[in-house]
Amino acid sequence: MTTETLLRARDLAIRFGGVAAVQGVSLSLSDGELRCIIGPNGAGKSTLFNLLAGSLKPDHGTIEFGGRSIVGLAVHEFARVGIARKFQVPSLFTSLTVRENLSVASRVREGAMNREARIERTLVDLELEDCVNVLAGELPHGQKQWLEIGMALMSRPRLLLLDEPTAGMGPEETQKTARLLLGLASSLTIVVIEHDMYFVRALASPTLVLHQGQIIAEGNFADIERNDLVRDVYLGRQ
Amino acid sequence: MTSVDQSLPRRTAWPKGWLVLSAGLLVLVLLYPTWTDPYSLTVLRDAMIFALFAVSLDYMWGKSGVLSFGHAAFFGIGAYAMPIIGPMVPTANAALVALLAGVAVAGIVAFVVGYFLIFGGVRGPYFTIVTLALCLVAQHIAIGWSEMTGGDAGLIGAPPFGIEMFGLSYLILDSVEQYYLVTAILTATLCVLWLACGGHYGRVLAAIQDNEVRARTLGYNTSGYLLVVFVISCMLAAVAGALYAVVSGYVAPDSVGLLLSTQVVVWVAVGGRGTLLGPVIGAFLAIRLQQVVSSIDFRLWPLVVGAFFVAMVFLFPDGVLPLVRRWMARAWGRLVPSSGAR
Repeated sequence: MTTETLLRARDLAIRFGGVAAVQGVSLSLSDGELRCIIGPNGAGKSTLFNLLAGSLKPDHGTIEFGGRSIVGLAVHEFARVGIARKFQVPSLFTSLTVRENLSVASRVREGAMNREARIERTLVDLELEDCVNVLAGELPHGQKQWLEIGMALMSRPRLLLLDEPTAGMGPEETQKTARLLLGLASSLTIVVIEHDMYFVRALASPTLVLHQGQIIAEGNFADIERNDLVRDVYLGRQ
Repeated sequence: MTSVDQSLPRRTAWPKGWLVLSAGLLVLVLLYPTWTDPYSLTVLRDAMIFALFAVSLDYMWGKSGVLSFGHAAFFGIGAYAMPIIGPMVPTANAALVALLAGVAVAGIVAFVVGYFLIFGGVRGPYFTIVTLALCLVAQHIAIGWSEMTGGDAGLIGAPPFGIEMFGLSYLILDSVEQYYLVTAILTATLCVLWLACGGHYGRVLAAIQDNEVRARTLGYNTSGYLLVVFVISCMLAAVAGALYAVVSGYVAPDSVGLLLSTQVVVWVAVGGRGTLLGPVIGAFLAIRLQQVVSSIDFRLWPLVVGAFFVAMVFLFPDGVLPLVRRWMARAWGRLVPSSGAR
């Protein structure tokens, strides 16, 4: 099966004062690919997401999405080309209900009937159908995470960037999230930043390791776990 | 999966009776001229003009979270356009032409100022401070450019509203007709804004108010949304100013002053920010209070109005209307889940 390259980033770099947050990072994502990014705190994972989602403009490097350069576009234009994002800390519209959050997230032009049908489907998929009229700010943490994933899905993305989607979740919720992402991966490209190695192992997908703003390893998670450098700087020897 | 806690706060719909109450209120307003005296009628007419002004601010501050402290500048543009441009048009359409010109000027000024502020990323208190400065500049122009504005003395000569077509003309000179004109404009404005903000557009504005960064990452050009709201809001303020100039027959620098800008913020806050109808109630309450206090001693009212505002903020921070809404919901026991916007 041939897969097309959806996103190609070359030699990305950004500095904050004297700190090189990301330096010389290149990555290529294919349609329908699930990729994990791991690394210690401060490795530059979220900064890389900020570059890919347009929240930051790289000092150096190029990003092509669907064959088109997207560096320099406004944040909302990144979303419009098909890049959706879930933040590290749940970022919801707290004064709106669950349903309203999903409705706002559905920016794409579609009839009210279609929108409502997609909202209903998303509510069922994320098991949020019992709290459609609950204010998003009042949801338990795990459900906030799912709602934010649901909002990202409502925007019909081609690339979904998930920053620590299981942070604060229990084992059962984490497993459910893994199943959800594996189910979605066939239809869209997903990049996940995670610290939970059980979750990353469950995804069993190509993994990229960042350290001090640079890629230090890339490959299957099984190989990554055996990589001496990765074990030294992040995973540990146990 | 964790079950949903049924005690979590949920959005409740406005009780159905609320619509009935609003309709009843409108009928009372429409019948008011049949039993009241001319003075009381003009008082209510003027209060409705200020209510329209308050609604214009609520559309911006209440619905999108952007507070302007210079809204009187746009009220003043609309007001000054009437005696300046109106006399240049020698037909019964003079007021209409002047109104459209004033609203257009207000829209252009709002667009230019708003574009640089909003697309420049100016938000929150910084936006409020810059608009405050805009108000001061407008007041200086109103006082200093005396050849055009009459300076401190102000201007008279705003033409009455009317229409002239196919050789036929009709002028609205009677205070009852003016009252109905103002009522119609206020009601139409409330209905249009209520319908617009009740659907997806209203939810997007609420989302921008809540978390602008998130709204942007979902693909919304939030600065564009805010600019449109700012321009429309300022144009509505100009309509209120134009109506005020016509019915009062006089425009002074106070019409663009800081005091009026402050008062309109108080009306919106007292009535209930983001409720559209609340600012109408807030304007009525504040103007009525002003009259009562002024009848005792005219120097007292700024002090009393200030104390009233502080007391309201402490006692009812959400304003009068949300309080009434909670009472009604509790009394009628209709806690119906809603999917509508605020």
